Amino acid sequence: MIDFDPSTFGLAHTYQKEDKDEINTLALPSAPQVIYKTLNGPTQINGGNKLTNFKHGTTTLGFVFKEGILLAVDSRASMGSFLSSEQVRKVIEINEYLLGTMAGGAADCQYWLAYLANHCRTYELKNGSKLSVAAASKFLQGILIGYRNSGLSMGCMIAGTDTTGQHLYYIDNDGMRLKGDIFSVGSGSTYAYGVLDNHYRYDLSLNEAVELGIRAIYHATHRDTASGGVVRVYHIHKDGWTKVHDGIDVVDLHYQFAKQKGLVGDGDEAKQRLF
Amino acid sequence: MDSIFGLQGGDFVIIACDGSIAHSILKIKETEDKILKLDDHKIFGISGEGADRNSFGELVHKNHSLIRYKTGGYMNLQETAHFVRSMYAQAIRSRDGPHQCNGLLGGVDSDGTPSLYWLDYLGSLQKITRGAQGYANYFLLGLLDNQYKPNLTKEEGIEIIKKCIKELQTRFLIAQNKFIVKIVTKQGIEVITI
Repeated sequence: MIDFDPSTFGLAHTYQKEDKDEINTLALPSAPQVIYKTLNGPTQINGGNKLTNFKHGTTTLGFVFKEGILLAVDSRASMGSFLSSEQVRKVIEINEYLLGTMAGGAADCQYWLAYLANHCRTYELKNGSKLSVAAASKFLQGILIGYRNSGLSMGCMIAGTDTTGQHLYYIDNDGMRLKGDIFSVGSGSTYAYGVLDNHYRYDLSLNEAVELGIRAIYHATHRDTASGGVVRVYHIHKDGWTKVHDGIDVVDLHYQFAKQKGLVGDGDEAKQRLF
Repeated sequence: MDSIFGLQGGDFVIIACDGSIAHSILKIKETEDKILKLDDHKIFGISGEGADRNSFGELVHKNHSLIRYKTGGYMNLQETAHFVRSMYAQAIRSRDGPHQCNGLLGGVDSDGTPSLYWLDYLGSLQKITRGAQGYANYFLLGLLDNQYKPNLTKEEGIEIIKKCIKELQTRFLIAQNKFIVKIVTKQGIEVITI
C-alpha cells in the first residue's frame, strides 16, 4: 500500500486542522435562505427517510392455512432505477420438502440457501432422518448471527413440511428468526399486508388461498415500483411442495381484475378533466 | 405521522384522519380533528406538523370564504382544488418556504357529483378515487385498490374505511386508537368517530 503524503503532490500549503483559525473567509453574499424541510412520511423516493428506505426491492409473501402453506412472490430485480430482470426466481427450492424465499441480496440468499440445502442433505445421510423445518431455520439463523456485521442483506422465509406438520419461519440478516402464520417481506410488503390481512382465514381452500396470494402480490406490484414481473406461487403440503403457478404476468392480472369490477384499467377512474 | 385517507363513491366522499398529536415520545392529544370544514359540502384533511397544519388550514378557510364573498357565491370542487393548489404553489419559492403540510380535499358539488383531490406541499394536484397521505399510503393503498369498485354506496364506503382503520391498527407501529371520519353527501357533512 502506497502511503500518499500530501506534500508529494507539490502543494504549497495543505489544509490542516490547526490552520482553521488562520484562513480568511470571504463574506458570503446575502441570498434568500430557503430550506426545504423534509416532511415525515414517504414523500421522497429512493430512501430519503431512514424508516421508509426499503432496501429489499421485492414482494414475497407466505401464509399458513388448513391445506398447508402458500408462498407467492414477484419476479422483478432492480439496480437503482434500472430494471435488471423481470424473470427472477425468488423461491429457492432447497430440497423436496423445504422452500426458501428471496428478498434483499440475491447472491446472499442463493448462496446461503444452497449452503443450507447441503447441510440438510448431510444431516439426512448421517442421521437417517430429515432435518425439521425448525432446525433448518435455526441453522440458518446461526450463520446469519455470525455474519451480522458483515453487510449481508437477506429477508427470507423458510417454509417446509416435516413430521410435525407445515411450518413457516421468517429470517433476516440481523439474525432475527420468527415463527408465524402470515409474513410478507420486501418493499411491497405493506401493500400486500393490506390485502392479506383483510381476506386471510385459516380455513381457506387451496383455490381461495392461491387466489389470495396472487391478488396480494398483484396489488403490491401495482403500487410498489420495485416489484413487478410475474407472480410465482408454490404450495407446501404434507408430501412436500408443488409449484402451482410458474409465472402469471401482473399486467394481465391488472386488466383482468379491472374487468371484474367493470373498469377498463386505464387508471382514469377519477375522470379528471380541466375544461 | 398523521394518517389521512379517503375514498370517493357514487354520490359521496369520505375522508378519515387519526386523532393523535404527538411530541417526541408523548401523545399529547388523541381527539384532534384534522379535517377542516370549508363549507357545507367541502372538507379538507390536512397532514403535517402542528403549526403548519393549523395555520395553512386557517389560511385556506379564510381565503376560500373571501373569494366567495368577492365573486358572489359558490366555488365548485374543481375551482376550490385548483385554488388551494395555487396557494401551495405560490409559497414554494417564498421567503418562508413551502407550506409544510399535505392534504386531501373532498366534497360534493351542487349537482351531486363527488370529487376527491390529492394535494402535496409543493403544489401537486391529482384527482383521485382513493388515496392517502403519509405513512398510511404504505398500508392502505393495496387494500383500497382491492376493495374499490365504481359507484360505491355510502354503507359500502364506510365498511371499507373501517377495514382500513383495522389494518392500520394491526400493522402500523404507531398506535392510533381514535379516528375521525367525515362523510360528505348532497345532504351535507356527517361525522363519525371510530
